[in-house]
Amino acid sequence: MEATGGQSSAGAVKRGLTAATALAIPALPIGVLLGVAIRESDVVGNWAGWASSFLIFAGAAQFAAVELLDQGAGVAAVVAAVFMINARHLMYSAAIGGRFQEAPAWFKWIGSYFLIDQVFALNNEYAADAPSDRSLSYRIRFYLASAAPMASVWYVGVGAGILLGQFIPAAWEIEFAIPLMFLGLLVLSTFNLPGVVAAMIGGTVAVIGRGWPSGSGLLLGAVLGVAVAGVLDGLLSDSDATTAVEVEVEAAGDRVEDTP
Amino acid sequence: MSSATTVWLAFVLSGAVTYAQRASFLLILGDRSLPAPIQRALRYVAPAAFAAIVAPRIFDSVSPSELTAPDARLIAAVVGGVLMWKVRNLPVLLVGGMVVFWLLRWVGL
Repeated sequence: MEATGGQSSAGAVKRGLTAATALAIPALPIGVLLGVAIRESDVVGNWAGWASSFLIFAGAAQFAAVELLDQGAGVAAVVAAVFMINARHLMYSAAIGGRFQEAPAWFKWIGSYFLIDQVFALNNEYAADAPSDRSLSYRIRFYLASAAPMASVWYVGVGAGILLGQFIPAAWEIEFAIPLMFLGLLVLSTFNLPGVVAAMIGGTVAVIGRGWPSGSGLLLGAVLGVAVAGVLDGLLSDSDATTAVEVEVEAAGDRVEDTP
Repeated sequence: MSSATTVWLAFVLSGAVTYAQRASFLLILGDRSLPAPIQRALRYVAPAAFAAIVAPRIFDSVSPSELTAPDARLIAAVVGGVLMWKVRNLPVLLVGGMVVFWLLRWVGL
């Protein structure tokens, strides 16, 4: 840890908890819905289903795993589907790895477990609350503090769904809060032309491939979007380096007051 | 294999696979840096992945031929997206988007 901790590091915990709470609230009803699906499954027991929240800790993958097991799928099919659905985490890990290269080993082992979509959104290089000029100690505290509400809400939500069953009326379609939340994360993370292109390619391919097995449309969309945007970024920064940097700095300043 | 064993084994192995994916580069990167073109591309993981997560859930019930028909989720998402662009505040987006969505459902969309 660095000596620059002290006051700013205490602020890191508070900011991390606050920023993640806004993302944890919409995750609660989704956890409850997963709990209901587990309770209604003839194959997946309640304890095993709840344990999957700790073991896998990934909403879409858990829904798919429960559904596949219900349909009589074997271990290999479930694990292959989870691998595909969660393969974007490979990119999260690569994108975030550089920020924590100097971090102690304990953090890398523990932090890896919590690298879900929302934690990546709050802790990547361009996130508003833990910018790269903050000390490593600040960034580590912010990371762990932002993971805590997400994990707590998920474990409690799934457990509550299993215990209490269907107390959210299906007619409310509360699950629409999840695409809304990711839409917000999308707006916050798109701040230049290659970013817009990445989003358009990712979204279009995912819509075309929404019927493909095991979320491969999502994965292909994300990979293609990242690849094309990377090439475009290279071309733009070669031809007009200053403009690209200026746009980014402007956008980074804009994002400082993103989260309450 | 009993069905309970299948379920537990599937969950434990799925968890191990997911953890390995999340830990991959955090643990193996060490002191090395990724090549510059890869680093550039990785800056766009967030917009590409989040758009790929969002889009199918919004356009799910809309086929190209039905695009002219108003869809509650699509309209609520557009309103929510514009709102987010303006205020850059997630709770505002969530409350605003859900209220618009419910109002549209209520009027029969």
